[in-house]
Amino acid sequence: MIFYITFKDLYSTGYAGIRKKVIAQTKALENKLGKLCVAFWCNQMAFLMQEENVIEKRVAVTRKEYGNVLLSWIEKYDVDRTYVRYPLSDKFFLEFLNFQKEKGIRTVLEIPTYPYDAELPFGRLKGEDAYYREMVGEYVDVISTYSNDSEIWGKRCIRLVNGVDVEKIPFFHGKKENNKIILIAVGCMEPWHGFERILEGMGNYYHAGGKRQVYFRLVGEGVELNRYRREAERLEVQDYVEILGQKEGEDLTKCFYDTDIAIGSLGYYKNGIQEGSPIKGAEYCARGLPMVLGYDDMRFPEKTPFVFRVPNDSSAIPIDDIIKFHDHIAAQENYREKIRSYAVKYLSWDTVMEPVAEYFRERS
Amino acid sequence: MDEKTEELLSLYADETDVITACYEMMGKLLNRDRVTSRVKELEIRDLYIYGGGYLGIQLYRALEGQAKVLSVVDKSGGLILGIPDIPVINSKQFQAEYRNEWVIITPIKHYRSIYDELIPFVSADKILFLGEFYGGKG
Repeated sequence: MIFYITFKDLYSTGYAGIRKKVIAQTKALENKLGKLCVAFWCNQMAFLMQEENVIEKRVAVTRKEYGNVLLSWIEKYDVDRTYVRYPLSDKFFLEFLNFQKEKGIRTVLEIPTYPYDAELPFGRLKGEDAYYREMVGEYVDVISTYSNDSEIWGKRCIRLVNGVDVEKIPFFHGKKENNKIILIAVGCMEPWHGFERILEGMGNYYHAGGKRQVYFRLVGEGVELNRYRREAERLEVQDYVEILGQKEGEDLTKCFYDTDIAIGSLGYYKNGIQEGSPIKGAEYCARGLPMVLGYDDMRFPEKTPFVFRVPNDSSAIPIDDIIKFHDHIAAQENYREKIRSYAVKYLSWDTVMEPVAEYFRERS
Repeated sequence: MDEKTEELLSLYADETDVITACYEMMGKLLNRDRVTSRVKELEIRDLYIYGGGYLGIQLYRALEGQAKVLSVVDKSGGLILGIPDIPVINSKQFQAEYRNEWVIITPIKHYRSIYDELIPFVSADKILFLGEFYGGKG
């Protein structure tokens, strides 16, 4: 039996994207390796799910308790392989990994972001992690990463990219006014999204007399949202900025109906990161949207025609350049269908997770 | 790090997790929509709240108008704060009057011992841990 183990509350606000990813990854692994179970921790309860049904639940208030519950389930279900989503290191996590090692359980540890220090607020968790992560390599077999690293903490890496469950992403687009360009950014509005660069660009564009109507639609909630609101007012572009809050399912899909270009992360420089493959990039691709990216995305090589790269710094994004990019790509026949096909061919989770499945097959 | 220091730090980490869990749950119970939907989903009408601490009181207030809290139950027979409009009884009184209603356990750290205390006369499917009441999946 294989367990996919997370230490997060997959059903809390702000984790919708990660939840979709976990479901898609487990579906891909099940397609290749057979049934598996997913363990997650939510509202001080440990849950074990199979095919999206809860098969076990137990009270687990602390990290230590959650670890103990996991160990009991691992024994109960005769687990021989685990895919573990890295939670940050602490004594309890190491004890959990040690137990697995002693039982001969093959473990792939996924590190969602690497390096991740800049993402952590200063505090006890950061301190614990800094001390204990030096020892993690002793207890895992291989690490899966979305960075370009071939080795982390002395362990070889399986390089992954964030894929997309293409079937679950609706693909359609509606008619709209030709003179209007709608940019969309979906996310949990963190500093590394850097959407203020678009707002700055719009301020420059309209103050210089820009004639084309360019709108910026922000979907999601997070720490930066109020800042974006204030920036839009300061730059006097608030009439061109829509702030829609958190949306999911059909409500989210409606936000894409008349959009032209998706805006990926523009603020990776704040964390000292140059590359990545955030979930939203694959979702934008599945929706057939050309996109603007401020980092190197391993899923989209340098000359990918539907990706417009901007420098990874704090400079304002020139809206004239976005308009040119849009007009060039929109002139191509069926461009949105072609972008969607790219997602189907290269970004499905079945394709992305194959190296992990291969690793587990070799060691079953 | 020597063994004693590590043990001490682990104790602190564990205690901090408990305190963090309590703080988070105090905040979550302010989400009235969530509480309402869970009461409806679980079809709770009458219930007891076990634990007269801050979480028990917070839950009592969160449930006002949603379900009928017959009483708060606490070993001491009292609440951590003097709040006259909240009924509270001790364990013996609770056992004497209990008639198959829901029981939500609020003390996060002592859930297991309270559960063991209740199970001889309360059906397992009528006992909810506070986190479980608030909701897991979904």
